[in-house]
Amino acid sequence: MKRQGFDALVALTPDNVTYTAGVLIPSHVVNRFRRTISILAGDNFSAQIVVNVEENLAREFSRFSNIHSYNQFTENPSDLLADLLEDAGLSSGRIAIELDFMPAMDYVRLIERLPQATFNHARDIYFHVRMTKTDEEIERLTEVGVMTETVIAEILDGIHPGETEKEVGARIANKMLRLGADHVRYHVGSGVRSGITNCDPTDKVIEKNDVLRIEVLGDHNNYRSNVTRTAVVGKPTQEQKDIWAVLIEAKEKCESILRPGIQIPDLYQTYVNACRSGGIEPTLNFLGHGIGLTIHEEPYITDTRKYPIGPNMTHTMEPLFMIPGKMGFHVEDMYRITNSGFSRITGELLPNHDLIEIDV
Amino acid sequence: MRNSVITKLVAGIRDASLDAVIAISPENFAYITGFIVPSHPVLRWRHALTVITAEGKNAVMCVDMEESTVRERMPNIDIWVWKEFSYDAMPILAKLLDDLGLKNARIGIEMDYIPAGDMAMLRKHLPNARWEAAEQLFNKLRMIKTPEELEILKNLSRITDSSIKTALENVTAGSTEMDIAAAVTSSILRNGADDYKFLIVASGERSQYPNVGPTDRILIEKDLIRLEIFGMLSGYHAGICRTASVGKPTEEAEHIWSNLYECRKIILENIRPGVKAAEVYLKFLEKFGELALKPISFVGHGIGLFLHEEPYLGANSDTILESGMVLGIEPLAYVEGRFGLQCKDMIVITQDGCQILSDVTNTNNLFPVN
Repeated sequence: MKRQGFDALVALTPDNVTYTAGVLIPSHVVNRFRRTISILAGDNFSAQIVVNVEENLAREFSRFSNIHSYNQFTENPSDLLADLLEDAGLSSGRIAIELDFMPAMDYVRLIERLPQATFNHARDIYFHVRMTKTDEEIERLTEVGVMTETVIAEILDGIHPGETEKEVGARIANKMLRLGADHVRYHVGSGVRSGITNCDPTDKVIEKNDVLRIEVLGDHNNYRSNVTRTAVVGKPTQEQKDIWAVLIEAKEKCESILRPGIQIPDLYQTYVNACRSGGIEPTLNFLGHGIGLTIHEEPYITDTRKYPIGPNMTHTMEPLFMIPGKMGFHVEDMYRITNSGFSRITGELLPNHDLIEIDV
Repeated sequence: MRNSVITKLVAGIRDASLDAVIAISPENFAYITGFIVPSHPVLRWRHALTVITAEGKNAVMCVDMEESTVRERMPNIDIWVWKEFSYDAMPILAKLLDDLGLKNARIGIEMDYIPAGDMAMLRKHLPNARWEAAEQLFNKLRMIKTPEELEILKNLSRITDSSIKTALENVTAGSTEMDIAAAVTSSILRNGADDYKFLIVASGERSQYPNVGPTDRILIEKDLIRLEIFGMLSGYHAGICRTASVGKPTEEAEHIWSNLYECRKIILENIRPGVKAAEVYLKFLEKFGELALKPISFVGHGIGLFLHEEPYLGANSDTILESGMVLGIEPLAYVEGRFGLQCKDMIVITQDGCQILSDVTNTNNLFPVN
């Protein structure tokens, strides 16, 4: 904040407020009308704004002692935010605020109240600070990552033709919650449906010779996992094996250069080139994404991210190739960058070097 | 595309003297198209939107990542695609609007959703357009459910209620909150919901906090358990809450529960077309006041594509209730520092009263857990 010349940093998204104030207000995530706002200003001003029904929770668990609440139906949280910025002496300050999340109507009110202040995007500050994880964050990511891979291994072990994608989904949710996940999302795509990138499970019955794609996104202690495996019910065809070999080779080439200092566009280009020389055009325009308090954060591994990989970043790599109307292939694991290379958060327990074969 | 919704919207657009509206939130996108773009609610920058004009023309835009999903759902519709990471959603939207002949038009957009930064960019790209807040237009229309929406909500209410019942029947003293969570979520998915949201499992003294998720806490005798979950189906929500007692409840808990049960009865008796929403809340307060506990500022709310919609049943709500509204009603009591109880049901307002949609679990008494 200070390095970039700002007097205050204001967050409104559930992830950045949680990162700043240390407490996640549960209804904030599902109900965007219950604004929760964190404010850091100068050397020693911090405050959190919450909706009145969540005040007790915030008082007990927030990192900040300065908690203010507003009535959702009669008060505008932007007025309270303006009051607090005034208290902090910033009526004409330079304020970094999440303009990529704050609703336009709130912003209109804020600039009415503080016409002398200047407001800029806070996005890059949070993106960059959050990219590099603390030991505690890495511990939490490892916990949820390993939990997720364990569950996928157990699920794939128990699949049999004749059950539906939704039944598999319900089993995933059950196992994840039993292992302690707070929430879980998943994609289960079989046969033709494996060729849809975000394939929500349906009543389709899993059949012999289906390609089966399972992606699980866990949430534990506010940190996220994202792991994907591709299997074939029965034996893969030569075409399937060939496609898979290209994706795995592309992934291994990327792993061979994955270390601090490598430029992200170079890593991405290595992936794209390896796919193309194997006759495949990657379906997505990114190879992976940072993971932490949110499932997608920086570093996005794509050509527009012109900065180097650094120690203690955590991200996924997810080679993915969809043939719409036919089938789809996708493997995704979580990585942690070390001082000299990387370590695998997932990928040891249930390797997907070959397409996983499900006995029929 | 849902033609019945588009017809209602076009009338609303004309009434408001607009030339077009843009639906940019996941719920209003789903209201018009009938489906949610999977990552739209999860990753806030992945804009998907629809534009409806006063002439009834429409257009759809989504991020490249979700193009295949949107095309599968709407095979015959022209789709505008913007590229993730190039931050060009707003420039493409501006082109789309220009293409529809709207660059000098009066356009409604959800000012309570579109991020301030995107709105500024949109203004820059279409400097002659006039922008109006459209959220109230959507909120008003969405209050009254179409027959298709009502069918989904009825079905979902039963799924959700019976899953809660199953979960509570399958735990005992010695089980953990996590066991309840696993049982209710797996049951809700097996029963046909396609997702769930906002699972609250709060036992013992944790039951005093309105919105807390499950932990490893072990259930012991005399615990109260507040179990709330929002089942989801096709983007719609059914929020239901039950309170259980492990073993025989204390007299105090029973006393509060019987008051809440009476409150619920009063709410149901007073809900009918023509009544002001605030009146229902005030009637509730009269009864709840006997407990001398602090009430929250509403006792019910509309529900549908968003988990809290208009109308709220609160002291400041002057909405007149109408037939076809679906509400979650939730008398609840928090005894600070000790415990909390809540009973939340789904109802639909009919021609002459209301009908309970969550009619599976008996709520006359605290749900008995062994």
